[in-house]
Amino acid sequence: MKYKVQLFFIAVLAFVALVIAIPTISFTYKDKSYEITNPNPTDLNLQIIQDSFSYKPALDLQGGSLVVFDIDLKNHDGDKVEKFKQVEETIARRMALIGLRDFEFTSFYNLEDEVFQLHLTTPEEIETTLVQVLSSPGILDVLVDDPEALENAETESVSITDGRRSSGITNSDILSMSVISDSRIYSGDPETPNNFGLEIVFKPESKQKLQMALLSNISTGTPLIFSLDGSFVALQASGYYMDPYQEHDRILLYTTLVDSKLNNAVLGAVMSSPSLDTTVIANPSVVVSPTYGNDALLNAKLITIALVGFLTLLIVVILRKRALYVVLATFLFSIINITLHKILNLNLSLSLIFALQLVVTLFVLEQIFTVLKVNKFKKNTKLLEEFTESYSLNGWRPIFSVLILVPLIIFFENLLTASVNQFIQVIIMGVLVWQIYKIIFFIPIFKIFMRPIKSAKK
Amino acid sequence: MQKNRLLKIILASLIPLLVLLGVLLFGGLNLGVDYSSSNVVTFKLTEEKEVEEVRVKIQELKKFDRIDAFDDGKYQIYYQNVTLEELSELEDDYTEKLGEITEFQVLVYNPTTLILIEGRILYALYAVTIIYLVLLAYVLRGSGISRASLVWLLVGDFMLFAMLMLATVGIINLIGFLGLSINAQIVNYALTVFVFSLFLNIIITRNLKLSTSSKLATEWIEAINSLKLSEIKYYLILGATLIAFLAIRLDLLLLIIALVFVVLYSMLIHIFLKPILVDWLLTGGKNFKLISKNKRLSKEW
Repeated sequence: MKYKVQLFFIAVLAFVALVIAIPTISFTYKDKSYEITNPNPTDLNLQIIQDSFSYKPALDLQGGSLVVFDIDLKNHDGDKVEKFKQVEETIARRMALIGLRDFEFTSFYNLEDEVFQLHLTTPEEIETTLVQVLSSPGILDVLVDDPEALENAETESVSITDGRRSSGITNSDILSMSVISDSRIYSGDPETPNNFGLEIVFKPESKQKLQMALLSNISTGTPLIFSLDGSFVALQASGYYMDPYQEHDRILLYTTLVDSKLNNAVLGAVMSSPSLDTTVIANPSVVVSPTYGNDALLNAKLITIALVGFLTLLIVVILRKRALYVVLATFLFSIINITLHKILNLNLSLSLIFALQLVVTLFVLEQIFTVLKVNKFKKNTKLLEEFTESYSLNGWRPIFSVLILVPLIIFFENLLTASVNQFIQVIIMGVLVWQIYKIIFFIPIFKIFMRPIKSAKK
Repeated sequence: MQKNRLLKIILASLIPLLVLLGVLLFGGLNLGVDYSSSNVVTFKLTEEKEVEEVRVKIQELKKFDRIDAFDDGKYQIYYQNVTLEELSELEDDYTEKLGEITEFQVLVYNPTTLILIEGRILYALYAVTIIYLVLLAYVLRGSGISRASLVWLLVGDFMLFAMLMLATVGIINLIGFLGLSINAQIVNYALTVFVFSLFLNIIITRNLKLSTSSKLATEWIEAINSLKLSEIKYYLILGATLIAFLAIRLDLLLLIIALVFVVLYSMLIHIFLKPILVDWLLTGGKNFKLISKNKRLSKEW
């Protein structure tokens, strides 16, 4: 009975994984176009997790779009290359803070012709407004109530700066920022919080500035107003109380842009990086071809089909009747991995393909070795039972070891370049699925396909 | 073991490593345009042409490292070790080969990839090393090995890990001299080859049957012998499938050299060198009283 329940659970899990992992297939039948595609979080009202369960495009296989930033240094008197590097570092820092996974950011210059360009290549087109924010001077100002101005005010306020003054807080006071999803982030109505907002952490030496700003608004109780280059972009979230008589090192912000993770990340990145004092012009984006040629994705698909066919044939040749177990196990292992990749929206790049192929190859190898071992005692049911029990993972220890892998995946999220990070993450995820397979899937499936052969008993 | 055979194994393991290390130290890293600066020609075609056609025609003029094509007819051609003056002179040749071109510019190019991550590469390396050693210790748990022996075994594994890593970096760097400079995807393929070759050590480690008084070297050889020849054969056959996606672009097929070399080197050091190394470490370790006389470490792991 226990195995039947386990098998039912495995069947349900495999079905869900298959439904998410299935690639989009388009075809035409009787002059009508059809498309088979996987379900998306929006179908289940879960868009807060991800917009879709799919692989994101990658520059190497699918190309992307390029934005060229022209930096005007004609009026700069000092070392132009040095100044150019400063601008480059600031925008690069903003890019890194946004947390985009797959992008190229490169610089080009010619001193003689006074050409200074920064090229940003991304797999998906970034909205023009966000590109402009990214290359804006990004001068942060935090506005607080100005008692003198309030006293002198004769007309109704028409501007956000009316009746307010600068608190003195600048970009350099911010230690770090992160995009968060928190129910305390709303402006007026607690029933309509933003899905995303910002948590800004101040440097220890700037905590006093934050306290002074909070004290300035103590009489009116109005929230602090954050502006970038004079435009109102965020305000202190209303969902919690900050005691102005105590020093705080962080503040939650409700942002005024369209409520998306990316918009908040761009805004936070500009706030927490040094401001630019040179003119940066962002040109309209152009489409860039894939690094490995226009047919790279098609070639990758053809190679995948050929490889799956070859591996299946190889397993059948090696294991004959016992091959069915390895083929099924590998199929399950692969679709669960692909499902995880799609849920996490990884980029379908060559690095992901290399990593997935590696973990699948190692998994197949392990399964072949296991079946070869079992062949030694295929006549003996007891030995087979003992082996199956000893090979599978039971108890809390394996579950704990699996849980250790999760923070490791997060550790590699932004550690190195996007492609290497993703490569290592896919490997760790592969190991994670491998362990889960040994805990949940192995015994029931193995017992079905590895029953002692009746003819062998005779 | 005969002294002659011992010497042969040690020399066979060290000589290729020293050669690759020498090339690395004296020749430098063959970094591609993803990681190192170069000079770039940019221009716009007035007449629409196939990217492949443009690629072939430009390659006939001068060997380049990378080409980027854009939908507005703009091209960027990256040249390493070619001066801006030399590239400026190419304008007429380009026109001759491709027809009328506009917006011809030569620029210095600097990638920011390494600037952004250079401080963190070591952290990643530490993390990967620790994960590998923890995994080996996990595999050996309950195998009967004493804690002291485990320490020396892991020290040996760490040394072999470092040797294999150097060999992988060295061979990938050497392939750079054949025209395939190190870029992001090559780094990932190098990691693929490296992890696959390390797996051999995990397979053999799982076959270890030990006791707290094990000499390790003998048991290691027994573990290798208990692996049937067919298992090594399947390891190699499945390893060969890792070349499949290199066919995505022909020049990537040069990386087959790396795959073959690193897997064979891994077999050499894990099958033949490891018992010698472990034996040497255990013998030397007896004088290291902090471990050999420690009561806690004499218990079973």
